[in-house]
Amino acid sequence: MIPDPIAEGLANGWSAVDASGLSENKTLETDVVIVGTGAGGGMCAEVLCAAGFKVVLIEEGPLRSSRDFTMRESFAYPELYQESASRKTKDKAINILQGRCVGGGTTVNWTSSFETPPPTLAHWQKHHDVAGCDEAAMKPWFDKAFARLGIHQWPVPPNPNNAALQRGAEQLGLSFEIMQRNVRGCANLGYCGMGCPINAKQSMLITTIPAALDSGAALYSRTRAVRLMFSGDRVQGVVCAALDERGVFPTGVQIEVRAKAVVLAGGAIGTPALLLRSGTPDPYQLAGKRTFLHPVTAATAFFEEEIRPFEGAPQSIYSDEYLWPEGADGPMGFKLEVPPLHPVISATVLDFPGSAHHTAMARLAHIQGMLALCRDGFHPDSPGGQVNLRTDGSPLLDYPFTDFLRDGFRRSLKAMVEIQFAAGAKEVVPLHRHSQPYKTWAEAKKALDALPMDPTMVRLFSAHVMGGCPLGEDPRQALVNSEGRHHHLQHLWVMDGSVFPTSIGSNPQVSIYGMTLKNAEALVKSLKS
Amino acid sequence: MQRRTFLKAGLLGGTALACAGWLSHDTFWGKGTHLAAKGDHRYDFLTEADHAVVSALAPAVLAGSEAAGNPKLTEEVVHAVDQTIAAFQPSVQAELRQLFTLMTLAPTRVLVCGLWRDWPAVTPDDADAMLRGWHASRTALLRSAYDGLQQLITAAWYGNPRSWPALGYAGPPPFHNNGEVTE
Ligand SMILES: Cc1cc2nc3c(=O)[nH]c(=O)nc-3n(C[C@H](O)[C@H](O)[C@H](O)COP(=O)(O)OP(=O)(O)OC[C@H]3O[C@@H](n4cnc5c(N)ncnc54)[C@H](O)[C@@H]3O)c2cc1C
Ligand code: SF4
Repeated sequence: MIPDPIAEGLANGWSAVDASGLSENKTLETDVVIVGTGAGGGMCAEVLCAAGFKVVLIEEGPLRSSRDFTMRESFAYPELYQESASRKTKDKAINILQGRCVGGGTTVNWTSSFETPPPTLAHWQKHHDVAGCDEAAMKPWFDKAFARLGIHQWPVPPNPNNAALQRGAEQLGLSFEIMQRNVRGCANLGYCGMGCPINAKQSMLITTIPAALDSGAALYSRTRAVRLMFSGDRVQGVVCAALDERGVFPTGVQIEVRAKAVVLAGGAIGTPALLLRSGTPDPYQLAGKRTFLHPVTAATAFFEEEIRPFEGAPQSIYSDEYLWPEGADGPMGFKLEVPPLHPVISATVLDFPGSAHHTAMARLAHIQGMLALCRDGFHPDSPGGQVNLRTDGSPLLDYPFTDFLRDGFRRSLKAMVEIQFAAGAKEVVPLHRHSQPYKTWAEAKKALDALPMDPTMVRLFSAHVMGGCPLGEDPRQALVNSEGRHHHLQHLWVMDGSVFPTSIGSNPQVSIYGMTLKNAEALVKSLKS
Repeated sequence: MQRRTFLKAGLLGGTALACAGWLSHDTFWGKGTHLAAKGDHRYDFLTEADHAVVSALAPAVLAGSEAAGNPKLTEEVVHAVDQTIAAFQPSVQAELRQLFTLMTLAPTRVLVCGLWRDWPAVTPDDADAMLRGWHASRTALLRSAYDGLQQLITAAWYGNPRSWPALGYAGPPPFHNNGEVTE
């Protein structure tokens, strides 16, 4: 039997309330209320609690733990993901994966760990007036995150899915590297995306949040922050709605949290939506604009030998060969990685009408997948998307395509297909509504030159939502300063992936941990003065 | 079902979908306002009329799989689709309500789906032809309606352990994380 730190903590008297069970309104008083318990919220909570502050954590999703993580997609997607893992952009062109549970995205992410790339930090300094975030200034914070979460280079040989990327890169003389991962005692199972069943993944769920709860923080799950309370230029707290057991409809119970400081950590999309609902001051109308996705293109390949893409650490090899083609602000660069392929995720991305779909699924054990994270937000023709509110107050991201993006999508698909053939694929299908299984690189290349890279034609995904509440010193282009403090409302801070002024250019969790550790320290200082 | 009907459906589909928002609020049509119920399967979103739609589409979407020719498995798929939708947020449920209204009302069914017969009489070939039309449609709304239905139905089946043996997937490793072996 695997020890379950959440079950143990609850048994030891943690203050954790599942609001779906509440029948009466509540009013709470605290030093700091944190909205969201993902990468930013978790890290921030631990720092504040260690400094002796009273913290209330508000989380829209449920509190689940290893005993619930049965490695089934049919459980994980509706329970642990935003909109059952079916969140889409307004035109339905991009499928967005975000966590919605205690631990947020860190409970379901694939454990790949990178510091913010130096060209990204330099770009922010140069173009977005970000201060105190150069490589040297950030290093101690990344080191801290590495130590806290056991991040190290993965010593186990890659599974065949990742080995194909390495082999293809070697064949073509492209660079590749071995992934760093935030795991301790990982059994190489490959189910990170459904919640780690043995607590090997060092998510916020099993690290910082238990530490915060051990030191007396209170956690409200199934609780949605609906709007901020503020008066004049001071934020006073947050009004929340309890959600029903499925997390779909509000129950009518309201929880009001009054606090000396409010930290927004609902993630990109979530945090800007809360600001928009609250009507907080935003003289330059920045909230929700410049939301980035690392739009992901993907290709599946059929190999004669077994690949078994559902087994083994999901991501262990990557290639940055095409990440910075002409520096940070040249044509769109992309990072190459590999996705795990379990039945549901595969079935929904393999897009062949009729019996061809099942024929493809029946070969799942022989399918290899590759993905390209396209680095958006660095070029004027890549301004990202805009979070708007639906009439019921829920967020909807409008993410228009530009020719700059289309060019990147096309190049990235070609790069992946070429690598897959070089690795020995018999057939490759770049994910596009009108693509076919191609038997040679030449045939695929010709097709990819012609296929339209338009919305709902090229298949796009995102597991990295960033931006929408950018940081920087200039209030005309940033909503919070370089330490995450709101430019216009006192005692309001933002610490999550929404603060980045561009996308990151690599998987973002460590960027969020590092930035949050730095900024939470600034918050502690401000609370003490 | 003829190619011309698709083209027409493609052109008119957008307008029809836009109107369905209003139609779905109108109880005058009276159709399918009762939630489906099949044996022990309680339904939370799909009405009897919607149930017939998904039951007709599933064998076409899952053609070649064990679920396609097996009414009991098809029913499991339809029920899983219902439970998935019931977990979607209200605004997405409302969008799907519009789509199902559009597909179940006779005039829009003929116009947009190109189906003269009502859903219980729709054959897998009819459903397949309709789906291929939507998949390749020039109307973005129909393409995304296709994607939505395809994803709901395939997720429902391939999330079901019964589908796994045919994929060469043995399921998650047996594991003692909750005091029980999961398989
Ligand atoms: C499947 C998947 C795989 C990934 N793989 C990797 C990887 O390998 N490496 C990597 O670096 N990154 C990965 N990521 C991305 C990474 O996990 C996220 O970038 C990161 O978790 C974002 O942190 P955050 O603090 O911004 O928000 P999140 O972690 O998303 O947390 C936000 C939390 O706030 C809650 N919330 C939002 N709005 C409200 C509200 N109004 N009221 C109450 N609560 C609210 C949400 O429910 C959520 O739990 C992956 C993500 C996914 C989904
Ligand atoms: S691969 Fe490792 S970290 Fe991921 S779920 Fe399996 S044991 Fe956990």
